[in-house]
Amino acid sequence: MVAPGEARLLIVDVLADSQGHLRAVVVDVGGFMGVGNRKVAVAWAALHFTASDKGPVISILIPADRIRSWAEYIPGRPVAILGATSSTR
Amino acid sequence: MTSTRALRGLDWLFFFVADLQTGFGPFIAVYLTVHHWTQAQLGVALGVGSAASMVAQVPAGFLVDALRSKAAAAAVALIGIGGSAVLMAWSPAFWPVLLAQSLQGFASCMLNPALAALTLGLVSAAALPERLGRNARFAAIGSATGAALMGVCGTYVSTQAVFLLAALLCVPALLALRSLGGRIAAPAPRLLTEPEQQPVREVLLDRRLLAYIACTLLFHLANAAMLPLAGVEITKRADEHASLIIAACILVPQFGVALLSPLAGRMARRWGRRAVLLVGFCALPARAMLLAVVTDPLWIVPVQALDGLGGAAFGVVTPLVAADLSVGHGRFNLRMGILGLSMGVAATISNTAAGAIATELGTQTAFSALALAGFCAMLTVAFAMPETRPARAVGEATT
Repeated sequence: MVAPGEARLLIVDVLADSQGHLRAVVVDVGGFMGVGNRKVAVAWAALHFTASDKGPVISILIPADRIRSWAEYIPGRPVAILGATSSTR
Repeated sequence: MTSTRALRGLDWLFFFVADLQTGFGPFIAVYLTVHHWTQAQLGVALGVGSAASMVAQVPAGFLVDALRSKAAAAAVALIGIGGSAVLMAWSPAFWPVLLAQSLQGFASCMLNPALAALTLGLVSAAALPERLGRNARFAAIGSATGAALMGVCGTYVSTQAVFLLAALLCVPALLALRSLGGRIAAPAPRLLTEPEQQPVREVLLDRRLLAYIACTLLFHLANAAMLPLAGVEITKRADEHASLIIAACILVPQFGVALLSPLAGRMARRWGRRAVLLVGFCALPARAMLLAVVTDPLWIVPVQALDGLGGAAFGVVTPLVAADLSVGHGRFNLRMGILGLSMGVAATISNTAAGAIATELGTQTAFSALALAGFCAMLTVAFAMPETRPARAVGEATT
């Protein structure tokens, strides 16, 4: 998974709503050797899927610094989704 | 007198052990996530690992005390760590990983006191403070090298390769252990194998040990969460190079420790253990307060450098106090184990509490709370910690 100006990101979770629509992915961003990384929810709609020789590539069209500074995703709390067009939960 | 070859061997031993120990911890989360572990399973695996490395502290210390050959104990522990690294690389499935994590936890608990005990077996009581300073220097250089080496390996090769590299690093560590030679097999100094060892109850009721346990708890309560919290702030605020700044925050204090540890050892011999602790512990509240007010991510790096001061003082004085209290009583490794357990417990509480405070009340408040803990740590050293330097060592030091 790739964001502009950022190396690889890791998708660690996928969030769906009660109607079964995928709403967001949780990505692990930033950090070095396990220090300083944060988990942020990014809207499913903000993801772009393209094909490459090695399989599908998922990219986010949101600047990396916006992703890094977005509110932390904490399980069991109201989620602020980055890049959501409709209202966030 | 011990040969220079054996002392060189000890340098390399501390270097390689720190090298392989720093490396693999941070990569476990990434490695298992890549192998499709869920966050919940990952939490269990990491929890088992840290629980094992706490629960095993005291029994492992007890065991190392009971073993005749500390070199054999260190060798077994090294092979255990190497084995757990190979197991992690070979099979990232639930039970093998749990087994590897517990094995690594127990082996680390045996290794650290065993290495300190080997040191006591190689040098005289008078030379001990400086030697412990040298150990800490080589361990810090090893940690920094390990972090860089494994970071490059994890980024450009694969996370699996990190574990194989860690296993591979056990080989030079074992060779360094072998180069210490047969000297350790010779009658070890009195404090290691005192014929009748002090009853465990007396060890636990020693007021000096209790005071140092309080210092250890408060030190790590203040210290452990500072770097992780600062790291998250850097990720949030730095526009680019955030990872580089975090890397600097990890490495710069290690260089500080490498630079200052021998000095801390010399100071501990001349002016006593308390003086070194006081200087090192003063850096704690100062660093936490600075982190609460500094907003520019780049300025966090020099503030983090203060960690080197605390790290050097604590790293040198801890085995030294344990050795001081063991003179004529034995049970050195048990004391090291008890202090290791205190460190682990305090670090866990620190991370949990500071994380919760940061989420609820903001990072500034969390840093202020850590500063308060650091201030209490300083006061404990100043008013509760007695000097443990044996009178005999003072006499020897002047000759």
